[in-house]
Amino acid sequence: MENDKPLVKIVLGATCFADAKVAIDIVEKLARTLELKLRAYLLKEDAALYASALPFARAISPSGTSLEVSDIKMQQAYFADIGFYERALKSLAEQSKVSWTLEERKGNLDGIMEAATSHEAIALFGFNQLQKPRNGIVVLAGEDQDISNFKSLAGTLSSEMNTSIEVLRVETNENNASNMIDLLHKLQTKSPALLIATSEIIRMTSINALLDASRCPLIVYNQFEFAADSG
Amino acid sequence: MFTKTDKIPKSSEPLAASHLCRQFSLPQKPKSKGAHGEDKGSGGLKLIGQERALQAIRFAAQTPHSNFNLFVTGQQGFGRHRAVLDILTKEALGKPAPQDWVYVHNFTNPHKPVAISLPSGMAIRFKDAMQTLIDDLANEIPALFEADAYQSKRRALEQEFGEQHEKAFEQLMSDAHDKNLALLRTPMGFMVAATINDQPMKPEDFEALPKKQQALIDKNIRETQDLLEVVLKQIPKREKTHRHSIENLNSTVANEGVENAIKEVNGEFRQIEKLKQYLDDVKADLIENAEQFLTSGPGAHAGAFPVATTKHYSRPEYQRYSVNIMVSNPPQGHSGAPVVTENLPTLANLVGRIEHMSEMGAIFTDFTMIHPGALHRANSGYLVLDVLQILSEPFAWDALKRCLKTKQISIVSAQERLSLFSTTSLEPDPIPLDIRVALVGERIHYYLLSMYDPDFLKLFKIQADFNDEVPITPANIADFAEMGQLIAQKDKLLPLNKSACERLLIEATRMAEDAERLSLNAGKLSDIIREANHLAKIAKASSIDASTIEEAIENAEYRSSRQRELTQEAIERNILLVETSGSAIGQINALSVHQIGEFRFGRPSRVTARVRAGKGEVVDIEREVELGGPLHSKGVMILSAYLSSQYALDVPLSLWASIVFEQSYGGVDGDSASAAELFSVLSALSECPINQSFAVTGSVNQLGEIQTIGGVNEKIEGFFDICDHRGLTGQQGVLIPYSNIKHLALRPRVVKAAKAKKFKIIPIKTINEGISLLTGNTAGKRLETGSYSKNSINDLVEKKLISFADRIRSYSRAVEPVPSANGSKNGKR
Repeated sequence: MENDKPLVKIVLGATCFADAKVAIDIVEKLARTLELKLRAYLLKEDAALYASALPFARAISPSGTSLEVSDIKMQQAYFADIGFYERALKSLAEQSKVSWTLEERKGNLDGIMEAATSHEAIALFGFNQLQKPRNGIVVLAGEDQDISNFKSLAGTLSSEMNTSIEVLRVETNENNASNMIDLLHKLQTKSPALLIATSEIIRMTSINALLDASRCPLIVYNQFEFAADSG
Repeated sequence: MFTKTDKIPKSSEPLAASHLCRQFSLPQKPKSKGAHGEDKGSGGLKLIGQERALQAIRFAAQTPHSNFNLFVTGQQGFGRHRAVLDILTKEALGKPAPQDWVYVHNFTNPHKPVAISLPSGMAIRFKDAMQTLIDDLANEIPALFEADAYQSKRRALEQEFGEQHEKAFEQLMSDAHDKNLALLRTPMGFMVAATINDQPMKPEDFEALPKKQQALIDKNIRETQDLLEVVLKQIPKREKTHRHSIENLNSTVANEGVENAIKEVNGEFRQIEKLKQYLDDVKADLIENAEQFLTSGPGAHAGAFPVATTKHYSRPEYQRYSVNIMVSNPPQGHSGAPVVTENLPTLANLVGRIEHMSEMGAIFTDFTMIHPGALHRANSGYLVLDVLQILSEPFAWDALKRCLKTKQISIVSAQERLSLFSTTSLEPDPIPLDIRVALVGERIHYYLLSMYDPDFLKLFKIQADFNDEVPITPANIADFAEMGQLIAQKDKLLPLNKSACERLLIEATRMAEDAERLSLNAGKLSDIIREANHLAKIAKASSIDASTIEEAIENAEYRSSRQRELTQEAIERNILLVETSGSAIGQINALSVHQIGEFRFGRPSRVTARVRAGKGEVVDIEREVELGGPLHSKGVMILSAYLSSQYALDVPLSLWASIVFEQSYGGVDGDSASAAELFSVLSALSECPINQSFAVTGSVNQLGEIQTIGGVNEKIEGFFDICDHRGLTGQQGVLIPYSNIKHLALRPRVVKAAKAKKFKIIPIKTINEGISLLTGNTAGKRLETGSYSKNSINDLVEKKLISFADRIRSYSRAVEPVPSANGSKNGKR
């Protein structure tokens, strides 16, 4: 019964449409069992804008082709991507019970995380993988953390993506930085299909660091219950 | 054994009853079954007098030379099919069993299925072996791929590949980090950005840096970009290498599985030359497509059966490994060559067909949808066909000839021949053909094909011509009687007693229309025996006797005789004018035969002639109104010639005569009434009345001799029945040609009347004999004086003709033109 689906809020962040499309595919899978309220962002990273303004700026396509970049070209590319992003969300909403908004936003991925926290939403960061992942879903959680809630989310995605779930427990002692370096190193060699982490883990590192290490989409699960939202 | 009448009948005298229907007297105990040689069919029926035809069939069956195919000619019901099948079956037993034939998938050209021959009985074993192979692989391949050995090798490859990629990326990221650079993902692709304290460097901060530092950052960024380019470009290459490694691993594992599974099939069938290549192709294809077996689950319909029993080979994806058996024989030594009869020789039933299926609106086919035809089944043996059936099926005759000529069976559909088919079809390998075809038909078919089909005599070199009848000899009579008994035995009928056999012999002479010959129409005789059996059973008799046979014949005649009775009734009621008493000038009863279906009956018709002086013209009214056939016209012209050559030879024939078959509206053909017509003309000329108690049949030649005609029995019976209805006077009778005496096989009612001298059948040899009997006057002989004996018929005829000539001469003088003043002649009346 459509009406019985629990409502879940998701904040979706991506720095380009290629990443956003991966995230939308994950949303589509979740929408089969959940009613979703989606707040989507196309992030114009400061670093990308600064880099494109430099005289020797170049962009390298996923196939390894080098392109000259300028301020204007970058703005045009963002403009095109927001259009694709919007169309993809519209199409998603036509097929699934998803309400959505889309915004352009300057800043960095941590800003998206903050937005998610403030909206008591799950954060989903898209990442277009260059290679087929070798592993399934990896769940990162604190050593003593109760993960029953987001294990069910991982379970849903695992069955939709027809892949396995692996849980990695991490010591969340703030003084133990070496733990986090080990974790990032482990993620670099893991090649997961999807990374699900608790906000606790994020507090010990950054979204960028996790994405750079895992090179896969990332879901950050705030410790909120899946509950009916009033609006 | 059979009665002979030693007394030779005289012409112009009534025949004795013994001449009207030949009687037979068989010995008390019939000869035992099988006493007369070997020519018996499977039903034990003996073929009488067919040695020539049987020898031809045997020769065709035995000779190894190609194109010595057989055409069996003869009438229906004479046992042609039975004889052919019996002999061919006997010959086939002594021949080796033919090879099996299968069609298999062609892995190089799928639309050209490969035909493979196998030793007799091996096709089914090969098919089973291939099904077992597929089932084994469907169970073993997934197991091999799920095995730890494979999984660990696969994981190692994945690990190696992943590590290469990650190592390159890790190195890139690490170098970038060391150089205070960050890798960014943007709508335009990856970008390398400079950082200060892990924060992006703004353009103004960069501008503020010393040139040397700017150059360093520039160099670092360029180097990182170059390295990124290299790393990204390597990804597809690495993926390709990785994919090949996985394929090689899969191939190695699959090869191991396929090698093991196919070992058994190879062991049993590899010695067959053509299977070597096929089995190699199968193996290569199985290895190449081994992944198809990884999805071979138990299937939704596996039900209560364990997975291992699932028939994987029936799944569509394994169709190409199946074996389509075209011809399968029992194992060697168990049977001989095949003898096949195809009763519906359509093109498809003859050369086989390729079926098509519709799936999602598309029409498709494959080698499993090739079906064999009669030529496949009869290959290396014999095929029996009815010629009329094959000639009436579109393209079938042409296909049969093509196959015989090329000595191979090519499957071509009618749609393809007509170019009506535009969808995908197959071109299966033609199968070599070694066959002997026996066509069974009537003589007319043989003659027409010989005349109009140039290939026919080249392909069907042997004719087996079945006799329609045999001469009456003691041996043939004994065989015939035995045949009657065997028909009864075969059909589980009551036995025929001696009198029944004798009665059947009489009927056989009647069917042959010859008292000296027996008809071999076993079909018709069987029908009589079956009907007699029915009557005998109703009468609770223990055997069939002559009276039952007689009753059966009468019943059969009665059922067909409605038209005969209508005709007789019309004569009775004087609707059709026929006199059976009194006398009349220029009027005679002629006889004709009518045939409706198989039933024939005779009826009298009044023929009249009128004469007057004329220019030597005999008008055949039937011909004038196009109701007379050519033979009838010939008869009239012959009688005209007889008149010209017989009478008044010194003067021109100055006669005008008209002859007509009165009340004939349906046309007349044949010359059997020419004698009657001549008699009527002679009567008209002589003015001597003809006795109407007689009817006449017979043709006449220019010499005035009476010649043989057909249907003599029916004609006599036709006139007898009319006379009988009106009351037999003892004066009534029929004049028949003397040469027809040997054809008499009259029904008992006529014989009985003749015996009681109530009806006469009088044979005549000449016109003179006939006219004397008909007029009661002598015909007259030409005397030394040159004239006929006075007041004889011929004398009167000649005088009349001379008087006609005189009249014409005096008339001609009266109208001779008078020369005019200028020398020209003008007619004057």
